[in-house]
Amino acid sequence: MSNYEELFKPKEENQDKINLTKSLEENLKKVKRILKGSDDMVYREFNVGENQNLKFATAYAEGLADKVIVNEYVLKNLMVLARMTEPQVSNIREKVYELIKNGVLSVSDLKEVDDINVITDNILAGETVLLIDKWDKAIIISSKGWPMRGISEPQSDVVIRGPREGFTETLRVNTALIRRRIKDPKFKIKQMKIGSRSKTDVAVLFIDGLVNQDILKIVVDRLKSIEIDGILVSGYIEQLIEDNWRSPFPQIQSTERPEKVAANIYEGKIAIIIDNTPFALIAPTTFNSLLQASEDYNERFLMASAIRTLRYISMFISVLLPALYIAMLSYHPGMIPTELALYIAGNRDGVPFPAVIEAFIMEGSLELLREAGIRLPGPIGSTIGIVGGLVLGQAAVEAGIVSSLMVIVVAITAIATYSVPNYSFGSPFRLLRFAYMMGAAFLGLYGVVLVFLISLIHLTNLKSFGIPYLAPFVYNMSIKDLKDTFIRAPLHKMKRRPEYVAKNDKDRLSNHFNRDYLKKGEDSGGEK
Amino acid sequence: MDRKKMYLVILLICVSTIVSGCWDKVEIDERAFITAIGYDKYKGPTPEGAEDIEKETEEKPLNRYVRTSIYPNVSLIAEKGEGEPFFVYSTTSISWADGRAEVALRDNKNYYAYHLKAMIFSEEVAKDETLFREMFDTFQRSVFLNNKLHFFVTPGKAQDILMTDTGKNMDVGLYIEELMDKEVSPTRTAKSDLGSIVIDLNESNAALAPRILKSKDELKVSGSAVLKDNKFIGTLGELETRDALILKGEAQNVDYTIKVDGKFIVIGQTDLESKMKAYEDKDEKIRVRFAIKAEGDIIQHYFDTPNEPYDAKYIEAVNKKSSELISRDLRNLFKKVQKDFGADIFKVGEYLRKFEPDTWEKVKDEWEEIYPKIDVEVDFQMNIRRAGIQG
Repeated sequence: MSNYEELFKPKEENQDKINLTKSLEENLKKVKRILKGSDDMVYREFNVGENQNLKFATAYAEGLADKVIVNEYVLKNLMVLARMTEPQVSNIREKVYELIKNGVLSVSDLKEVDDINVITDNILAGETVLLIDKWDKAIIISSKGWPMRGISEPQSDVVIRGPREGFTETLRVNTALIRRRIKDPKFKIKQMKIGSRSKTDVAVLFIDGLVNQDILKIVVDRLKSIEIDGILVSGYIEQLIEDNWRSPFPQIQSTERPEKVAANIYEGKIAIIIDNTPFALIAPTTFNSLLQASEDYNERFLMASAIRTLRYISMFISVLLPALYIAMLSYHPGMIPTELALYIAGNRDGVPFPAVIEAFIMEGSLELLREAGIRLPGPIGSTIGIVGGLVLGQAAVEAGIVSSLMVIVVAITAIATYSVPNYSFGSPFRLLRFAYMMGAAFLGLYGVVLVFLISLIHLTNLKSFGIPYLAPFVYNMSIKDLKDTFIRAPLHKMKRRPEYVAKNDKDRLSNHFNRDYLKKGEDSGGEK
Repeated sequence: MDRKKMYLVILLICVSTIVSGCWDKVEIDERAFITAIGYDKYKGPTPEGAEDIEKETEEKPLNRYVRTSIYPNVSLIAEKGEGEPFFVYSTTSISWADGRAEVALRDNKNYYAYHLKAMIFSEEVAKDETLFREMFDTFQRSVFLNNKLHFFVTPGKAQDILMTDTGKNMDVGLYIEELMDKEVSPTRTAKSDLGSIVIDLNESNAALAPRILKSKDELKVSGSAVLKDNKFIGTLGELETRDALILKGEAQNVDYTIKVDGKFIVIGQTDLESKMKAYEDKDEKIRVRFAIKAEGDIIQHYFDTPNEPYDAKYIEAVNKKSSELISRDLRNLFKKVQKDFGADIFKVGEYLRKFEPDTWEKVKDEWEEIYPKIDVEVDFQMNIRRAGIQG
């Protein structure tokens, strides 16, 4: 049976526990001392009761806690409504907590703590603390509520047909987006805090019974082992837990699309959501899954398969085309059809640079253009596009610095690069392209093949959380597992989860489902 | 230590690539894409200086060839420049390599022959067995020559052919390639390239090579040269070449003009299948039989001849008549090649070796004498499938 609860047990806190005392003043002083210098803290002391003889205090961080909750449901209730409930005078001191918890506070989420460090942590996370005189415990009232960005369309993961929702910077919203897609009680959202100072919430999402326990263990162990002061963006987690930091290839997929995360969870994978970042991480990740777009499953299978194949081809183009251009032109013009070879030779006549330098200049300026365009504000960005387009295309050719064929090669390469659906997966190709170009420059086609072999060796060695990166091409390879690779088989043919992740519950679609069933009774349908 | 080793390996890789790399890198625009090479026999500088010719010694042979090579003006092809459509370099040489070296002294571009399209020998060179064999040996050894290049024999000077202005602003090598490789390829010249000629010469000691002529300012491929014993021994005319190709089953689109009942009818052949069979009969005589099936259309008859072309009986008669006439022509052609040249261009010997090994064992030693005497039978069956729309 699953032992995931075991996995998520927090480590023993080595932080000292500071017990609360019975004196409100003393407690409040301690809290204030810890949070000294934080001017965004709000402390409020007040008296409650018919005779105003019960002393209370609240503390919260302004901007993080929802003031409406604090004012309307905590302070108002305590100060005004509490007088309406008639307490039994005899045991009021003993039962005051019960009374307040059950009778006064109209807030759904309450916790009882007795450690000042926990109290301050909660205040900093946006909760409100209620301290009561003559009682050595405090109540944490859930009051998180800060201004946040609404759910909007993802910027980096755009689809034409598909949901328009994207993750936001708030963890809770993000988990809810996924929970809405998986209403299975076995779907688990386990949270932990990472970062000794940032105390960032990190949630691990998976379906119990479906997830591969070994992978889950690796993921959680690695997450737990992170000891860092702060986690700001998902990239921190990604780089701290990935298998091979030297590799240019991302071994964890990041996405802004909740339905993509849900789909992967259904396959038995694990999602990691980090507070303050709109990207969820998916592990394990394979080469193949990075070339899948969520739209593939929304399209009819013929179209989706064609596009898949196109994507694989474009991947090769984006890596190989400039290198092949160099190799063919400088070393093996015999491989080019005669008429094309003659045309290229004539076209390059008068170009002062060898093909290698030409390719490096053009590919380099393309990368420059991309880099310049990314961070520029919109109106100036289009200027860069026009200027860059002119310089790269027309002017360079007219001036005779580069041949027009090179411009075509650069353009096709750029288009091919950006047809890779995952942005962070496109980057290694852009980088590798230069390695291939170097190989071609020194050794021609032989060099290209050498670099190709080196990258293939690297890819076959690479693993993502124990799963070979090239799965399903290298791992227990069977025709069945190729249904979701170069092509996307019709949905009713994809009855099983991917073999390489799912170990437990492998069936997705009932084996009894077939197309004939849909047609049953159709013959008599028209006649009645 | 481990780290040190790693750095050492990286250093070695870098050094080895940088030191050894780029050794055959030549930019594409610095290459001369030779498209055609021609060889003529060298006949001395001038008749009066004949005495000055050095004597051929053991160490150094005399100049033997005039080698002419051409390559196109690529700027013109890319529509970037102007000038002549092609460049010609001619030199005397003692061998293939020598000619290449001589031209390299004069040409600013790097010699590159992989896109060579045509190789032209004058008849004089082709007739000289030594020269022919030397050249063909080079062709076969070189990895930088394309086997698909067209080999021609020309009765005139190869140099003249190469310097022809085709009037289409292109060089002769490319012109010849387009001419030979067009979809509706000519059937009146041999269909063979360098590779197939080499194979034919190896297998049956005989081959057909296309001929090329220059008449006025035009190039023309016409008929074929018969090669035997590694030299040129004679020519076949255009129609003879066509018949040879029909026997080999290589000529699909051929028109025949047949006289039936005093009318000249033109039959256009659309499909051809030829099967050769050689065997030894009871009298221990070698026989060869060609069974050829052809399909065709009537493409010319006489205007206003009611019913005739559409009558099954008439068509049958035409079939019969044309089959007879064509069979006769083909048989005559075979006999001519057999008797006049003794060249086994149809590879009868090769057929025996492959399919009748016992017979071949008996005849292989005297094949040269036996071949001219073997019996031939040609069974050409014309089947007219379409007679046109209206008479």
